[in-house]
Amino acid sequence: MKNGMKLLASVTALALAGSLLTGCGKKGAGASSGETTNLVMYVIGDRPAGQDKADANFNEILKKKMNCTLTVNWIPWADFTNKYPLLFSSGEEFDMAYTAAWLNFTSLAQKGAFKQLDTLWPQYAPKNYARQSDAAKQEATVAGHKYCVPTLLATYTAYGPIYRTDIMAGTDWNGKMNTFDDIEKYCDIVKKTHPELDPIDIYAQGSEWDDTYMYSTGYRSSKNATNDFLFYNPEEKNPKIVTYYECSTIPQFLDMMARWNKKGFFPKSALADTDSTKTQNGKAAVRTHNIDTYQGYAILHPEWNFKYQAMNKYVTHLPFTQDAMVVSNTSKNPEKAMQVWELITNDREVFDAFFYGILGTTYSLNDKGEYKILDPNQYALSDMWAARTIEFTRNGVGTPDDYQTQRTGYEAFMKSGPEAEQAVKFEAFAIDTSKIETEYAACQNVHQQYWWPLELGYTDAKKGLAEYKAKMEAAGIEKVRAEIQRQLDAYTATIK
Amino acid sequence: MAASVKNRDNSSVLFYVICYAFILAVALISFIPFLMLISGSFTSEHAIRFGGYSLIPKEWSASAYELIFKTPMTVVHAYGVSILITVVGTALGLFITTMAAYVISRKDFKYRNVLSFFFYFTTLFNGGMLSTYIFYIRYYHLKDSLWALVIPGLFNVFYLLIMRSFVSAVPAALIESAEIDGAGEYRTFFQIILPLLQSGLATIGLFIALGYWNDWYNAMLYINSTDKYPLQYMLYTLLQKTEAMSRIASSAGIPVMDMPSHSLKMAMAVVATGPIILVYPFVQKYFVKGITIGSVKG
Repeated sequence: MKNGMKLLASVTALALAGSLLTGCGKKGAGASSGETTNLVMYVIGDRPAGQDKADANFNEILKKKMNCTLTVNWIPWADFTNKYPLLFSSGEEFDMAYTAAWLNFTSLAQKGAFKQLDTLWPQYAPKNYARQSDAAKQEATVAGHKYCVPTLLATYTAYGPIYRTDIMAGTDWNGKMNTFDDIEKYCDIVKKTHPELDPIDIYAQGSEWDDTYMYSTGYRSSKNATNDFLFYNPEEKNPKIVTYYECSTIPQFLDMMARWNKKGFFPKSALADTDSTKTQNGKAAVRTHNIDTYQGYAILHPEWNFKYQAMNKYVTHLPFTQDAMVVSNTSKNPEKAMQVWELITNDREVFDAFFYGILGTTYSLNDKGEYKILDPNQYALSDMWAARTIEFTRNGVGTPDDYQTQRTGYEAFMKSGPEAEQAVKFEAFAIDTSKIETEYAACQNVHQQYWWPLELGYTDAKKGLAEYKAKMEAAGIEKVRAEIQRQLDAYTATIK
Repeated sequence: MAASVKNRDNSSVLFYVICYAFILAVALISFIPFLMLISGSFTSEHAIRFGGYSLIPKEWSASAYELIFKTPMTVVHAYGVSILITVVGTALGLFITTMAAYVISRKDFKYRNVLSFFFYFTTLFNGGMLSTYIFYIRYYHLKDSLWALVIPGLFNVFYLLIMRSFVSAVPAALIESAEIDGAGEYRTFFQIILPLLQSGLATIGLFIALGYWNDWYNAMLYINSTDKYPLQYMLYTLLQKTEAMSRIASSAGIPVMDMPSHSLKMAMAVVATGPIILVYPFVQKYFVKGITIGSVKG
């Protein structure tokens, strides 16, 4: 036995020594002098079947202009929650990746997953850097350093009903959709004339009508997304963070929703329905969402005559870090990566080849410059949405005219007066939950469990609201509120 | 005499009735979802959205299958990959496992207890997903390689122990006599021992093959290229895609337009699992024999 243990020990030692050698011999498989560098980029999405063609075409152009090639790896939707964080925690070598708030950009930046871009960005992508707004640059900053390149395409906080108008033909609908009363009248008519439809599209991810309501009364979400439970009003001199149960108008909102529930505007089991495509497939008549979803529905079903009405009191830009590009800390060619990004966001030919593919093979353009994917089973747009810029992005064929006019309208509105400009000043406020992670997650869970059914009128308004308040306090809402209020006060001081 | 016979008949009849009723219930519970899967794949999309799934298609439509077989290459590729890794993995894994089991079962092997303990120890602790991932990616450089699908499943200590009991059933006298007759170790193993292990090879081979056929987890971790996806992983991405996208749809500004339809998902599932379901009845007898054979008298 003693001999056995000695042998075991020497074998183990040999094995450990041997594993050291596996590191050698594999290096130098890439860049020798003067050879084309290959950069690797990760995006989220399911790779289209015919993507090889588009990649080859793009790499031809890129090789000519910059003597390097780009390999785009796609992480399928089914696994991104597992695979995306693994990219960074395993120390895998790659150069660029897509990032967004829903991919935990801030916490990954704090953990050191990304390269600091403070000097790289202005030096190797100067035109891109100059075009970014101050808000965007501030949103890219975490703990004093810049960690991502935000998109140059403005998106808006506009939220409101996307509604079909074809089913209103022959009814006595007055065509108005500006207030919640109008929505109710619309749904009444749908219920009467088209009983096979659900008037309102609600499914398992919760209803966004509560956020829409808060936006319509002038409140902003603290985390710049729906399904929030803390709001503030930019009209106040020193905005205070409030919860749903402290807003004086919420009881009447809850009564309205209970009324909508009784009238049968959405099914009793709406929160158990996992189908998120009810409106675009004709099972529901109206849904509240942003203007880009409206564009998508209108392109899919022009015959249904979708229309859109944003209900926010103040529309501002969504954070530009909604789509962003990060350079991994393990990248061996960060300068080259930034140069490639600069090329993609500034050169029309390169952008089209990267984002849309091959003109005539994967996509076609009409005389308005709108694109159409020629075979949706084989080709699709690039999933690197962060590459889009205001100048280069194209609309799909079938985009309704008022999509563009509404967007220009938002830009104009943001400059229209002191209150609108005041709201815009709060655009770049982003919360950092690293100190209150547990309590924040607990509050979010309580919110989902108690508020979602309450908001849809499945529980009694008064009792439910009191219970929601009690559970939130038990989960630590006061600690969360204090921390976020502190961050908001610090931010408010900088914009005075 | 007559009375006791009647009693026994009654109680055993009752017993049989209860047993059969129970088994019938379990069989139905297992079978009905599968029936709905097949019927759903032949139902039109519209009928599913407005009427839900049903045992018999409400509106017959084979359009989902048409769509799949219009571009059959994805399914054909996935089948190819699955079959390749199953065959290669089973052959290699069986070989390694059997050899290891033979070595450990030889009583005249000096370090047999040490090695056994070494193997057994690895079943107690596991480095976890991240350390395994780092090993394969950074040290073995197996990212996006088919070997990353084969190597993880090659050796399973549990199968090793089962195999060892099979090998132990072979009398040691046989090995000794082979040695006396002048056979080397390899000859003894390949020509004497292996032919005697038929049922063991069949059993463990089937377990390993099933493990490879059903595995999607390794593909998720290590594979990037779509033409290296095995069948189960392709199915998994298709089915999970809609869930994942609807989850983030509200917070991300991403257009979520091209979701696979319900009937397409059903049809994909049938195409992916149908053929293997047909193979099961033929190999079933080996399973049953293999599990019970451990009690062979020496």
